[in-house]
Amino acid sequence: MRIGDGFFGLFFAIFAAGVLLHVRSFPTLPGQFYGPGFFPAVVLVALLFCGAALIVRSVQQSSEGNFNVSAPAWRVSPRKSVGAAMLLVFGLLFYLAGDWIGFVPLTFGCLLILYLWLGRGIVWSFGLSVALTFFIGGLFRGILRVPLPEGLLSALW
Amino acid sequence: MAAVALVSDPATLISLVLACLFGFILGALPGLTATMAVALLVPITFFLSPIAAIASIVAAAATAIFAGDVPGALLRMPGTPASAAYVDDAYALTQQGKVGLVLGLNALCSTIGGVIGTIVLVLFAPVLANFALQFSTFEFLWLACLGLTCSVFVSTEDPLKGAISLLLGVLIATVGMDYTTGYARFTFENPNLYEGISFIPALIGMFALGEIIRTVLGSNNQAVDQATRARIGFGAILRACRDHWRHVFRGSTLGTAIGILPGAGADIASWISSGVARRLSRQPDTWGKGNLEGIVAGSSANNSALSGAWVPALVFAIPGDTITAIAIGVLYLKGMNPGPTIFIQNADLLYAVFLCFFLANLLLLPIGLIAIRFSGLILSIRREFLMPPLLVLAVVGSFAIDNTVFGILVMLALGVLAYILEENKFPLAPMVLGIVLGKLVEQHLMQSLISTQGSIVGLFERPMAGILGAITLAVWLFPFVRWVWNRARG
Repeated sequence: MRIGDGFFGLFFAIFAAGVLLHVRSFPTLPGQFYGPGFFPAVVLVALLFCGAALIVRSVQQSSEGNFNVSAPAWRVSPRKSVGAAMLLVFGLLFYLAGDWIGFVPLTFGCLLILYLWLGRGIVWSFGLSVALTFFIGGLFRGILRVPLPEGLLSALW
Repeated sequence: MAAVALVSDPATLISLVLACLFGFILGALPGLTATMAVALLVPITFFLSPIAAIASIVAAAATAIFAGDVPGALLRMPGTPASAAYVDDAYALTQQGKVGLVLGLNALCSTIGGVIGTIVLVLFAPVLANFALQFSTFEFLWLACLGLTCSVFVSTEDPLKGAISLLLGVLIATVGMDYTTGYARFTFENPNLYEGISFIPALIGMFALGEIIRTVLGSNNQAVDQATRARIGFGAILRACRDHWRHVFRGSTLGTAIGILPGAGADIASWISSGVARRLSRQPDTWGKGNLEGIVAGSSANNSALSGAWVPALVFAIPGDTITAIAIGVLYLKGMNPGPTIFIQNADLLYAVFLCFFLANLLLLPIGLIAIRFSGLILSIRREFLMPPLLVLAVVGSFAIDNTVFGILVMLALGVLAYILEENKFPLAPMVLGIVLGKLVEQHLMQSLISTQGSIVGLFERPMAGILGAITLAVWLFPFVRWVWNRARG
């Protein structure tokens, strides 16, 4: 995803200004000018300044400034973009449903769907997904003793 | 002797060898970096002893950097950015049927570079630590600020974008309960954020997820059907190394020095060292056509920089590169708080770490030479087929640190942020250093302000603090002065 420098500068400047307003509500130490908001405020002022500098530089480079947003990867290969989106969706699925579905079924399902999506045959995808699920599950649950959520499989253990 | 006993523990040795293999596989796959290998390894090191954990990180990083040379020589596609500086010469030699010589020389020079870097680390770090014992919170404040500033100027061609990246990292480090009052900042009343954003999931997201997305979206994922089989002649390798010993030594020392600079890692060391070798070359007309000088200088430099980066990391807790930034997180997790006192409080462990450095770099040679024979097999794997299991490893690794799914959310959020920033030429190294050092800078700043009763001038009153503070302010003001100067001159 290509985002113009001017757009980035504008975003960071507005973001820093907004958070600075929020930081003003933080308390200070009794009788002092500093408190929990002091350090974030220093950082945000610097970010505001850098954002403004990025806008100025962008405008100096071209009279309109570079405020474009484009996604060349999507135009060149929508299939690959969908693949990347699927990776993020699977990641989110682990976060949202990992506890009740369980990591082992999710790992297997995620690997199987992604391999099929990448164009491998059903037998190859199934076999590799099973092997990798056992390997990753065995490594983290068996050797490293990580309490991976069991979810739907809890009845089986 | 206690250090030797710690290192000779079978668990440590097995972790070392397995980490070498893991590092080789990831480093040999074009586009997958040494930092990614280390980031994915961290959740596993979490369950190892401190020495085994550090040994694994050192071994994986050293082998991954060397392994990056393999696809560079065979396919003209550097496996890691650190191998890009001399890829044309390596590939040209492969075309001449000298692939065994190139890869063997890479392995030998990487070992020599790594060992020289480790010798500098062992000799230099304790002396520097002894000096740093006199430092108070004021000196550490300015030193950390200088380290962060240095990362902005060294790691990127665009300091403005580097500065923004750094500030975002520092801002991320301010999330959680305030150091002085316990006031919850930017937590959205989410208890998972009270302790701050978990460092390891953040790094896994930035270096693993970002790279996974880039690989899936990338166009160059073709496998190699028939990689050239490397025939290794030890006599020719040793002769070539002897003939170019000056470049090996210069590359190693230069690489170590560059590695010590915060933000400058193996990539920059390799480019600068190859550039110097080119400038001093006796055969400038053969560059890009199979000149060995750049190859030996670059491959010595990138591995020596890895060891050099540990000097500021161990002595000042200021990481020299992204790999040591991750390693600092692991050191804290293992109770080995980096800083000058580590040389007193954890001397046995530290000397065991030094031994691990030697062992990892020496192991690199035999493991590397054996692995070169299997490089064709590794390169025949289509890179995108590795992405699904790497995604699962990233997810499970992010969960394993705190045993909470919130780590997965942190990994995803920072992975997407890092991907967008990097696609738009914002460097990630300053952001990582900001996340690592942000808390430290704030702690030193608040401690200093409390002890001076809020006096800013008081931050400069100790002589060394005054010098470091003045240097830091001069570096901060330099871009403005230059801008005003350029405007005044029209």
